[in-house]
Amino acid sequence: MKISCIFIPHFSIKCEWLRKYALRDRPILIVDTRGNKNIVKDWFPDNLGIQTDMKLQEALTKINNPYILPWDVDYYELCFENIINFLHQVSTTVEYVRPGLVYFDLATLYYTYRTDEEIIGFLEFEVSRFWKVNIGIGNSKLSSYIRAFIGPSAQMGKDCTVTDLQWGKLSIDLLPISLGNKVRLHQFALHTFGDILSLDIRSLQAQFGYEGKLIWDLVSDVCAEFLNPISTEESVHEKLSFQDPVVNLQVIITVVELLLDRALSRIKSFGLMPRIASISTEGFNGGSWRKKYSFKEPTADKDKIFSRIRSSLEGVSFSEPLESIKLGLEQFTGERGFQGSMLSQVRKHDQLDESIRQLKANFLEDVPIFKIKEVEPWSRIPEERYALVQYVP
Amino acid sequence: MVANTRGKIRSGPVRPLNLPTQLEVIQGSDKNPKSIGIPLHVDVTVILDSWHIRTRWWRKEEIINRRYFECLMQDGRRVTIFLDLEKSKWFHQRT
Repeated sequence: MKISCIFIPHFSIKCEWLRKYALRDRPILIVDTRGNKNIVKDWFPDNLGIQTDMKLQEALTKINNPYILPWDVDYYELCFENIINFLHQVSTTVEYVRPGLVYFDLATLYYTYRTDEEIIGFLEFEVSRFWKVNIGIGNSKLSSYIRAFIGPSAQMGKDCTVTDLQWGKLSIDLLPISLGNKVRLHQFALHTFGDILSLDIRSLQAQFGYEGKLIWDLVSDVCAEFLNPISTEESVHEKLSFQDPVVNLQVIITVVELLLDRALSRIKSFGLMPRIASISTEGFNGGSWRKKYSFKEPTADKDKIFSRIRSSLEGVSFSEPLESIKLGLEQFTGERGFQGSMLSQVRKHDQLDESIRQLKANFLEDVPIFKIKEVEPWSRIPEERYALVQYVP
Repeated sequence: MVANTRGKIRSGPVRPLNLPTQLEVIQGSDKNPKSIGIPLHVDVTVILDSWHIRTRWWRKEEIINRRYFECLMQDGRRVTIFLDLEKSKWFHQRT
């Protein structure tokens, strides 16, 4: 199976440039917060020795006075959506890894194009409308990634130099393994693929365990990694763009209600009920905000969905005026199930008993609360079937 | 001696449920109810069902002898009434 990789180096930096042009040519660090740790996800300029998942403190020693931006993965995914949508049209299996990196199966494209060069030419023509991309083709995900990583075909405007690859001279930093193991490989003076290939698989396994075998398989290009296709799910989206940016929360809530009405009218005739609703906004200064609402039971009841969204929106303070609002409904189902409680009556009785005890404590006398007791339910005379007796907790 | 662990027996009041309440009924020429005062008079559209109960005839003072009518009223309500044949009085029966 031939696999192609589309790789956009420093994709999140490019997305930030799109959002704020003033950041161009200035040193940037994009940082993600995991617990109390700040991890570097992307950086500019390149060639400073910074690596993905490096600690912020360490990265700051290598870059002068950078702009530190938060890792806005929702925004980057939105930017990458065009490429994913296009790839879904030309390939049956598309594996999305992260914004800026995607693998896909080439089997269907070989029906139309004969050689890898023709396919790369086609992809460059189509995909480069959105971004300047690196395209690599290989027998595995790693080899296609490496070809994309070191052969910036789209940028250079030349064919990907697949046959010229000097596999053995590649750095082990290209391997998709943990940063810790990369450091250990360097400590063992294993800097290139060739260094690893000169070793026996058993010695790697002895030092690195399971990942040792993975390293060997990857470097030997025998790693049988399968593509994990994106599960395509039907979703309904409604969007409204404002002529003038909006700040008023009441207007925003009214627009959300309108969009919800429209979206529900599109699915109701099919008897479908969404399990997830999402709201995403685009701000005047390019900021984005997104929130997902999951429902325990799928519902097409407008009031139920809207009340949930409304109560959430009322607590949000948008940092900038909004230019557009998008509402999405996802994970449709035609059936609905309720989880009943086997012991619901027990709890009800407990709550009732407790309430009566409290009333009794307040009034200091027996509370006139009665329960219906069956006396002669079979009786022909209705007033003799049941009686009221005092409820004693 | 071992102390009595049994709690105090509390017998609260027992109240009858769905006791018949007396009402006014205008009868037609066939002796069937024509209009029922519940409390304002409403005409009977149709009598849906009617039955007769006679029991406790062995107790001289507690004989139950009733003729029941289930009526559909003009305002859409369904009302069950009976004529106490011992007292010749009409009652509303809740069930």
